[in-house]
Amino acid sequence: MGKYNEIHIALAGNPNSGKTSLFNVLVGSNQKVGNFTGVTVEKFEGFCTHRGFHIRFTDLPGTYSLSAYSPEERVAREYILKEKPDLVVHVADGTNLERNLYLTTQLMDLNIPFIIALNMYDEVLDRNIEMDLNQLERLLGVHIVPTSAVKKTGINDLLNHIVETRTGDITFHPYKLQYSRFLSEPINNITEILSNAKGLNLEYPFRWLAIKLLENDRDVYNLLREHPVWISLNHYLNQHLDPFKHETGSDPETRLTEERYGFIRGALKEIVRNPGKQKNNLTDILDSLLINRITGLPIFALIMYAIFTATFRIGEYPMLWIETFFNWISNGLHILLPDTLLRAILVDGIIAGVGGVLVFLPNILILFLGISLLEGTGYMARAAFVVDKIMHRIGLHGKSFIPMLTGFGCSVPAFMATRTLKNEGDRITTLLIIPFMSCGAKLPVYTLLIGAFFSTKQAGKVLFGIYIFGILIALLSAWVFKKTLFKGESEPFVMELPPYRWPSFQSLVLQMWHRAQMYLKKAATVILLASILIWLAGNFPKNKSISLETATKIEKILSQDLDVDVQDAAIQKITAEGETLQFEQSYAGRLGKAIEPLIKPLGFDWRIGVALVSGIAAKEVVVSTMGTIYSIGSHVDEESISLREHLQNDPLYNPAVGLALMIFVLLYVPCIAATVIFHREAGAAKWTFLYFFYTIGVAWIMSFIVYRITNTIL
Amino acid sequence: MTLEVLAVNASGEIRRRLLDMGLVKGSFIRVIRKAPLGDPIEVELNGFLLTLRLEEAKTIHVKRLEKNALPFIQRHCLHDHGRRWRHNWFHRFFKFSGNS
Repeated sequence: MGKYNEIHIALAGNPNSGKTSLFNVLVGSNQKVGNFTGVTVEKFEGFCTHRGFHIRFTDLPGTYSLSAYSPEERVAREYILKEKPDLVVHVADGTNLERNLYLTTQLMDLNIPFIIALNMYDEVLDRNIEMDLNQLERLLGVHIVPTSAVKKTGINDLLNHIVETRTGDITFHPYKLQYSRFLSEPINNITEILSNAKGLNLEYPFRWLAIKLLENDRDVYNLLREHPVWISLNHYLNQHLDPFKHETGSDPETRLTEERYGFIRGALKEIVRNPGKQKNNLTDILDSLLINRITGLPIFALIMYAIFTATFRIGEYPMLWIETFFNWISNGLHILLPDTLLRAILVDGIIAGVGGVLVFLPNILILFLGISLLEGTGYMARAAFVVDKIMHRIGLHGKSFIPMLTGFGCSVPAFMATRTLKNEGDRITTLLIIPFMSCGAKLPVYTLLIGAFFSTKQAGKVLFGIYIFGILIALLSAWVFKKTLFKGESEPFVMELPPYRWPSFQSLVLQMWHRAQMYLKKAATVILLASILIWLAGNFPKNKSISLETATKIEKILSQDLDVDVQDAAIQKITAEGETLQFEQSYAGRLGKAIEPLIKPLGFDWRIGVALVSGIAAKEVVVSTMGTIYSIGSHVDEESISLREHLQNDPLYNPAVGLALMIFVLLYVPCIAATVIFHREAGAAKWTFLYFFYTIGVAWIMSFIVYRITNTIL
Repeated sequence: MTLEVLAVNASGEIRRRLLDMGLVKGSFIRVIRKAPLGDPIEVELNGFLLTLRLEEAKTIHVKRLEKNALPFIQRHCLHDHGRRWRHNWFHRFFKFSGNS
């Protein structure tokens, strides 16, 4: 335990109980987000001071129960039992007590000190729900403080209560839930076996272990199996399970749940004087408009379209400002500083790198504003409801739709959006197939190649075909992953559709801020470092003799008495040729040459190899690298006529190579920024390896097939 | 149409979830709608809205709450199969118990 005036509180509660809003009200901006150790479940921590006490809050993930199936529930119970917070505040939605009190019964089993913050109390009053809270306190042995995070009422009472529990002004201990003899007998017997066992040094209360053992809890089973006491436990269970089933016509797991709900129903019958207006009319009306059989899909499509457009179209403007700003800085430094290696590193390496990192920020912020709005209003669950049938076909969850759609804009925010998926199998599968959703940065490459090898009439069809091809590969991959790696690991669609609510401005801003912070703190530094390294690889080592030769050639031109235009053109050509030679012998150039044997079967030569290698920095770099290689200068774009002509006139290239290259760019590993984010979101190096080799492998195989087929047809 | 839950016959995680949400013996559910594509369905349970895939719903044993309702359906299902089934469109979502 910490100092006397430091109190550690954990907030537990159902999803949609207003727990996070309450947390935000309690700690304001004094909060930070991280991960719980070992899992990709977010952990929000914050603090506030009240009556001289420093109160530290941990917002546990929202859960309905404390079973061992979902990472959230496991994290919540492990945290409560292992970190031992001084007090758990159970945030319960007062308008839906029956289901919320179920978690209360689970907390009672844990035998820990907790109080209930009866949240949404404003709605309880609005709906004229009347209940005897004192009686409920007496039934549970738990103190209840009515609160409303939205109206900010009861907050002071809650803080007072927390402080007074510490000062000893309030003492209480929650009761144990009393089960019927069918259950209490085995619970007591198993508890006794556990407490008589020697050397059993567990951090868990024995009675809780007994209950969980009867519940078939996977984690508790695995934990106890490692101890010698397992022999007698196993013996007891074997002996008593069959008679139990015989006597009750049920199994302990079902029976436990039934008795918990039975207790809750009994308690509610006793305390509720007026059930009030149960119906939520607004939700009924909105649902009948938004998710009915006819308008459900069109409205869904419209909302998705709006989010996508906002993220990438509106996001384009701030992106442009960021680019302009960094161009302005680098131009300024170009003028101010002498032409040295330091300037090159600072301007082209670091500043360009920082700009490249920040440029993703507008997308991330807008997308997460959209996602927070969808989640906060309650539409997110409905969106999943509407498309789940399609997503379930390929083994995914309805919620995978948004990350996949975002993938068409940019993989970076798309990977981050997979956070909404709770099941690990669903999340990793979605992460692995997002790269095949052709992102916006790949479009310049297609435009260049289609312009070079296909007629304007074919162009549209080819481009459309590329996108469809990516989607098909994604769906196929999802199906394969779900059948192999994550067999049977699909999250059930037993999901609550929360009442429609208007999210608070504060929570929207905070959520956006958390994303931005997470991106900038955890990923940006790595992305920055990686892009500087890639820049170095493309520019070093510098060959002195090439620079010298270029310089002498330029001097020679200058000494000749020529027309200014002719002179300029000649100088440009020489500079570009010099750049090409420098690039060829740089590390990136050498790597491109080294992989030539590997990509030869696809019809690619070393120049394409170099372009593909540099494409790992960012996909649009493929185009500018080709410009460099063909000595046109690196400032070409996809519309550049000269680059297009160069490709057309090169005897090595034909439509088959062009198509194979487009397929390769479509499928191979996304840019370094996306890869770093992938690693962060997937959470384990093995997934990043799989991602890297799978994307490149699929790209190689598909390009090979496409190249061979088109070559025979044409 | 209110249905009474009799038992949940799923296993593993699905079973745990269904139980935790309150789908235990003696709860009442009301089918509200199907998703536009027909698969997940939306039900009301103990004052909140819950979604279920059909494969999950099928593991839940229910009976209709109205008196004599079940024999009525069964009778009509035999005679006028198509029409009755369409009328009670939620019918195939759950496992109905024969003895009411």
